[in-house]
Amino acid sequence: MVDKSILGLFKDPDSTADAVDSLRKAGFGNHTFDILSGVPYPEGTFGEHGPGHKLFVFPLIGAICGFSVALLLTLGTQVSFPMVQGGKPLIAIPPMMVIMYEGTMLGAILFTVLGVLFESRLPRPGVGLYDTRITEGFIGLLVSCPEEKIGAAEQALRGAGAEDIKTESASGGGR
Amino acid sequence: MRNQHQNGTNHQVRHYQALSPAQINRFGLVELGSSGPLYRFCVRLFGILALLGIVGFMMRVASSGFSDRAAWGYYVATVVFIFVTFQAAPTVAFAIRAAKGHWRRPVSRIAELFAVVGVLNLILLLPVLFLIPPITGGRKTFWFELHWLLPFSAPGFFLFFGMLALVVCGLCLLYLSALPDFAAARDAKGGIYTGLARGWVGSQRQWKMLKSGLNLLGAFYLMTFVLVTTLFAWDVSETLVPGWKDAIYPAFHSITGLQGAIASTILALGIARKFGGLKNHLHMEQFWGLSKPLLATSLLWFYMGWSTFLTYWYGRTLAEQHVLQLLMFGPYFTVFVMSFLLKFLIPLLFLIWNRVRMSIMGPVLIALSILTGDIFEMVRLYVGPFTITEVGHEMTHVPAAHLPDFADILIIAGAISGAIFIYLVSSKIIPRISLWDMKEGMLLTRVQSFHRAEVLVIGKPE
Amino acid sequence: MQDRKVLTETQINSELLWFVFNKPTRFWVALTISGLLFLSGVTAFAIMVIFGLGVTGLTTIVPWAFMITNFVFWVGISHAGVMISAILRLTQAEWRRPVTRAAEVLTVFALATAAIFPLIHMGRTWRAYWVFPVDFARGIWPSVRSPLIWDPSAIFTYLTGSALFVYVALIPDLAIARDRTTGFSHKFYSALSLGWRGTPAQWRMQVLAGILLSGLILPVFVSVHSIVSWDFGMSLVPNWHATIFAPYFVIGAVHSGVSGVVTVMAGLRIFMKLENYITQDHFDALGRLLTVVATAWLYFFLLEIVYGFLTLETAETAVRELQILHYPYNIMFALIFINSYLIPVPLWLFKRVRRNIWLMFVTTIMVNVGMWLERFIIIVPGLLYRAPLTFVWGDYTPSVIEVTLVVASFGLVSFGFLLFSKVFPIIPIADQKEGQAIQEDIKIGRITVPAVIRE
Repeated sequence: MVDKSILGLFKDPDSTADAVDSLRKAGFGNHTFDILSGVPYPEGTFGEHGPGHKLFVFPLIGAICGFSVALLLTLGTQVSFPMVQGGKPLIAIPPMMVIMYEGTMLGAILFTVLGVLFESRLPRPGVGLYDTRITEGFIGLLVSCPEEKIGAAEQALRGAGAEDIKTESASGGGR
Repeated sequence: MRNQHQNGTNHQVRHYQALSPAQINRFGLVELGSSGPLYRFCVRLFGILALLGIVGFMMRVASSGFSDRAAWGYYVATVVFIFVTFQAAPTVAFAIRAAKGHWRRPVSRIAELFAVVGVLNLILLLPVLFLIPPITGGRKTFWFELHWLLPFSAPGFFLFFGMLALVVCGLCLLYLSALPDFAAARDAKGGIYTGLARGWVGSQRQWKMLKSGLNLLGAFYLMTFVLVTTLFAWDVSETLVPGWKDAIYPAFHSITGLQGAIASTILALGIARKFGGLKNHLHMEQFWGLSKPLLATSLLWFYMGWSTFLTYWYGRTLAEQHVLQLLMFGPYFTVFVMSFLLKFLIPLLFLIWNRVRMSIMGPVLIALSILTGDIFEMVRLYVGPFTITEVGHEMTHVPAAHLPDFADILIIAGAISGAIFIYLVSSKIIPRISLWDMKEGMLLTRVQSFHRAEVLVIGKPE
Repeated sequence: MQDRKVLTETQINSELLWFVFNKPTRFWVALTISGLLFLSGVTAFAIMVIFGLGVTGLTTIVPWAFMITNFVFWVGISHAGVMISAILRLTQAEWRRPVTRAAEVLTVFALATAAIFPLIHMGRTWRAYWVFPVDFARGIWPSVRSPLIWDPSAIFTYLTGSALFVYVALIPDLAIARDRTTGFSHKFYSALSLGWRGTPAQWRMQVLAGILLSGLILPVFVSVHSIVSWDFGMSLVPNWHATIFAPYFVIGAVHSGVSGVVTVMAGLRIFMKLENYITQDHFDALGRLLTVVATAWLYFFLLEIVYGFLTLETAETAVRELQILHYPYNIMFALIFINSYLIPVPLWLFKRVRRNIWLMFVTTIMVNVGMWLERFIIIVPGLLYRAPLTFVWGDYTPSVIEVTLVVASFGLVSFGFLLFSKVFPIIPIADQKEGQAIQEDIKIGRITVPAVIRE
């Protein structure tokens, strides 16, 4: 079944939070609605439940990958081109550590950024049902549900004082 | 603990306890002069150990005199250990006050109280002055001698003078910080506090002076600490080793001190929370807040040590190779490994995890690891150099490891116990929690609803 | 912060995007001047490529001079940006909000400019790829034992990290620009904003990304300038072979970098009329920070000198004498101390000075003049003394080509910075709005204390 989306626009966080309460009362689960805002409000401002994430795993994996690649490169280049320099051993560990450190950090940074994008569910094609007034201070409450429940959602949004309501098929794009 | 917020929100502020000034006073003043059985046991235990330390000192003097420098290596290492750990702790109070973190309020006094340990260390330093050889003995240093004035070498004089300044500055800092609390104790108990409070009435002018004074004295304490650490690095350690030309060493030593300062404070907080009745004042926030700079200083400690190692490893001159042998890979290799593990590797592997930092036991155990590592570190940096008898531009051989004897063990245990003894006794005269700081904190914070969330609002007056 | 102004979200959007959506004449004038400066450098480089390194003042005795000095200088400038941003994020300093982006962008352009100089200095720039292990056919691999190989890895990591740091924090602002544009601009900002909508999960990731990337980039920032210092420190050249070089370079970089950020912030405030956002409070806070940083730098500066004399080695002492007593180095040496500490720091102790934008602008430029000379004084006199085998005293005078390249580097950084601020908001809009959203007051008696909300 194709879900449909409905977006309620609110002027202030209080009415948005009221709308979240109304939706819950009307039987909408936490996963069926999302809040869109132009400002990062403190967690729990709308009574929403913060979703879990695994961001901290990403830098760890990245660090391991970066370290391994740097280890291979530094070891490989020394073994492949064995030339004594400055009385140092053919496999000189202290200078290897410098490059391995940089490799580890580079891996960790790259994977952190990938993790941030993944956990933010970005990039996404288009913005879906959205309104540009959100970046002017309005707060959007986006509900995705089966078509027959759209009416109940709209009623909950209007009841909480939505300034405007927009509907569209969730699979479609639009601004 | 405060009750659940009426709104029934899903986001709650942790560990906020609204207290009235009277409640804060009541808690802080009731323990002054009174003690429980555990406290009394600890005071007796550390007191006896401190006395044994004096016995160890007498044994050392009787067996070696002051002419055998090598025999005093562990004594000097202990003096520097106390300096870079307990005596460094007041710098933490200054740093967190300057950073204006709200969580620091119950921490400041516990760190400042360590200033009293400086009095003991100043006394312990006196024999060290006679152990530093004169410049005329061939030491390479830029100092000058003052034979006409001093019974010991001029660098020793500067070291003693620096230490004296540090101790005086620390005591002034502690006294000034405790002044409003002494006034509170005067009003509640009278007695010695009438004299200590010196007519403090809490006028606007007095408060303004108090705050400016604390900032200034804190900054002076930090700067003097760095200066004295630099002097320790130059005079007591580095100039004894021919060819140990390590420009980063004073800064490395200072970082060791700052790491030790944070570790000492965290350990004191942990003990005060577990056994000292401060469970309602010290929460995860304080340990979390301090564990971040603890990680940073652990990283910096490694970084500076690594800079020395890499430069010497690349330079490869005979002098550099011998210094690396003496301090890292030669007779004190095990000591170096222990220091590396306890002061860097263990803190790094655990403190990078937020879950460890956001706990109480985690930072306390890491602090203990670092302080233990500091004992090894001071042995590495001071015992070895004190066994060197050569003078000139570079070492020709690295002496064997010098192991501690019974007198050394008594001295180490006694000196550290003496420092703890002084701290414990002082904590019954000076409130362990800065009462006025806590009251100010109550004025500047509040918990309130923010739509559906419960949030902490923190005032930033400056 | 005491200078609180309450602005609506619409007002913040329009004021901070004004420079992006409009075409003020002063922008084009500034862009043209910096572009011309940059072009002069391109011309100088072209001459160098055609005629070879002989057109510079470099000799076999002094092979590293102006260009390497400039390289170290720009790496130094690049340090403050991310450092300020990362430290202020980690410590949750509220006053960071308008400062972070400009600081980070300065990092990116300064670092990119710095990276160009070793390439130019190589003479045969087209062989730069030899530092990477890519040329399988030759079977000759870069030697990791050489610190010159560490440089590219460190700079690549730092540049990548800094650019990503800027980009991740920019995404919400790109969405704001997307919502206010049409046509090609809309497509451009839509593509870069990746479909951002501002859900709680996305905002949470923004906050975590700021903390995590700050934590990761700080150790990289320390390593980069350390590695630059090891280019010198790993050799046995008198005055270069010092264990203190790594932290000394880092603290010097922080000193010059934070000063660079203050200069840029003052320039932005005046040039882009951002008085509502970059306030006197910011200069006050940065001035305090600079006082601490400068004093730490002085400690390392003095340690470095004291240790130069400590063991009274002939070669080392000779270089120090050259640096401190002989013309023209003695003038430069004095200027380093006077410009970078003696004049600015006592001035910054006064609140009135810290809150005076023009004075901060001038004093921070002074610091960077001093810091440029500091790098020159470290690099060149050490090479001039060649005692053991050659018995020759070298000499060095920069050529017009080298001077042009140095001047052009300032043009390049300004050009890049101006272009960035024309395409993207230079003050973080979402961050600014967040600052307002979590702003509160606490009333105590007759006064109202500014407060912030903490979760």
